[in-house]
Amino acid sequence: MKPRAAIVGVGATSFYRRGASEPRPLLELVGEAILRALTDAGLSVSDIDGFAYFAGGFDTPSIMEMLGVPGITFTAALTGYGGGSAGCIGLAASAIAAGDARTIVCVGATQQSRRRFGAVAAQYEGTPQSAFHEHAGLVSPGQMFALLARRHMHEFGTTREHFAMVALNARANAQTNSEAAMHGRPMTREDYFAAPMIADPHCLFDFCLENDGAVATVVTSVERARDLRQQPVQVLGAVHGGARDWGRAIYWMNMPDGCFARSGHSALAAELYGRAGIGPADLDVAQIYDHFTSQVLIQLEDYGLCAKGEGGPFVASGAIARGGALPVNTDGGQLSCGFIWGMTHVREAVLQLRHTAANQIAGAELALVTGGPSSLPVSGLILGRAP
Amino acid sequence: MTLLSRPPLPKSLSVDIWTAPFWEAAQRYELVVCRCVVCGRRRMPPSPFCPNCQSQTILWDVLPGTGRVYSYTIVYQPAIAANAAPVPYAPAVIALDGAPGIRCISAIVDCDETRLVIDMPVRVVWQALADGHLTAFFTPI
Repeated sequence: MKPRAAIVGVGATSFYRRGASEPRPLLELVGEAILRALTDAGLSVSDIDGFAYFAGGFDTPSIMEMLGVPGITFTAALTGYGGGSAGCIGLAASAIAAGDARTIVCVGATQQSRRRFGAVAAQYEGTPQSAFHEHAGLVSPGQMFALLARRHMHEFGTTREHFAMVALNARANAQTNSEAAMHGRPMTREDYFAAPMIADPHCLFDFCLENDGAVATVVTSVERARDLRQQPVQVLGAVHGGARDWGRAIYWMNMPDGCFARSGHSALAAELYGRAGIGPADLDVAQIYDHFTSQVLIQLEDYGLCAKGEGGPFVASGAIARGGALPVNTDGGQLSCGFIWGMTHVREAVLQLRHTAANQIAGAELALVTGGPSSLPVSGLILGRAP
Repeated sequence: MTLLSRPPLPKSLSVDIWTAPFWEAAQRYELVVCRCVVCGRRRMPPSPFCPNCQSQTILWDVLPGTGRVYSYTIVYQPAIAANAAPVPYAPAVIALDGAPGIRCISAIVDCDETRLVIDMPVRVVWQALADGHLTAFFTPI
């Protein structure tokens, strides 16, 4: 399909350690990221005429009032949680293709001083459905995804050595990215195995960071993008959703055999590649949602970047390193750069395709970005450097 | 030897008309699953429609209360202080005997942490909550 939309601006706040953005309010972080993305694009607040979010999003009129956005003709959010982070770019691209708006801001932000993501499930009000997992002491995503990781180890022989490779790759990339929260804090294999176990088989370094911050992108039409300041990065394909067999996933745990130790992305991958008109072998770089190391290698399988069950050996081979066949999470990812609920992955893909990333992959033309695994929707995005 | 602890228990559980029979059966020390009368498909948690045929008519099968560990985690650090409980404790997914493909989310109790493996046979033990509900944990057979 012919690309209709392009990302023309990206902006981010610092990636603060959890709580360190206080006393700045969360909406201020959102505003700062949006203004930086507009500056990056060479646009002003009066150019914004739409907002697209995920996970319920932010209060659009408050942002308009705060920044002086004169008027909009589109504001919408994907349902669900972090699984929509890549998909919100697709939501914006669809709106632009449909003529609903011309210049749409997508933004994600976290401020975990008030609500730690690790305890998020414990803070939802109990429902008749959640009663079936609450009684088991399962309150954090890190515990829930550990059940999937353990099953993957059982079915495929995946080991903690494999998880360590994902963590070490992310940390190595952070050492040469001065923006990364873990810049200047290298990690060895010995450090990994000396870390406290949190929810077996997930140790401390299998968990993503806890950060405050915001990341915004500006999406407009492919035609308009040509006249703006930056090398355009086109939205070649985007998809969000998933299969009923995955469904609520970690809150359900009744995914059929063959779907349990997976990421929920396998039902979408073929659709995404079809929309983009490319295959997995065409990708130059991938930004894979890394709330937990185990879920990175399962996504690599589900997106056909290696065979099912081969995620462990694939990462152990060095394939995901900067010199490897498919560099993954080149900025350090959520494990070592910053956790802004997936939006850092969109930004890093854009910088790679502009050829301005801190850890630039030479000649990168095509990038994959994923959102989730999580309760549906999960999402995928393929971006391309505009010719 | 480290005996697994009981997980932190919720003070109360939310129930609706579709899930109530499950918890009522628990009061009788019966582990049950719901089955569609029309197509025979079982589902958990119980819900208003059969996802296979959309029927609303259900029966409740009483299961033997045994099963196998499908997967597990061992929690060594509580996620939040408010949820602090003795560690380690072991949330687990149990594949239930008598209901192929149906699993329940539970926890393994009265078990040494080093014994816990996938496929381990287990049986139900009942745990009272503060609101009077009984909930199902599992222990090695």
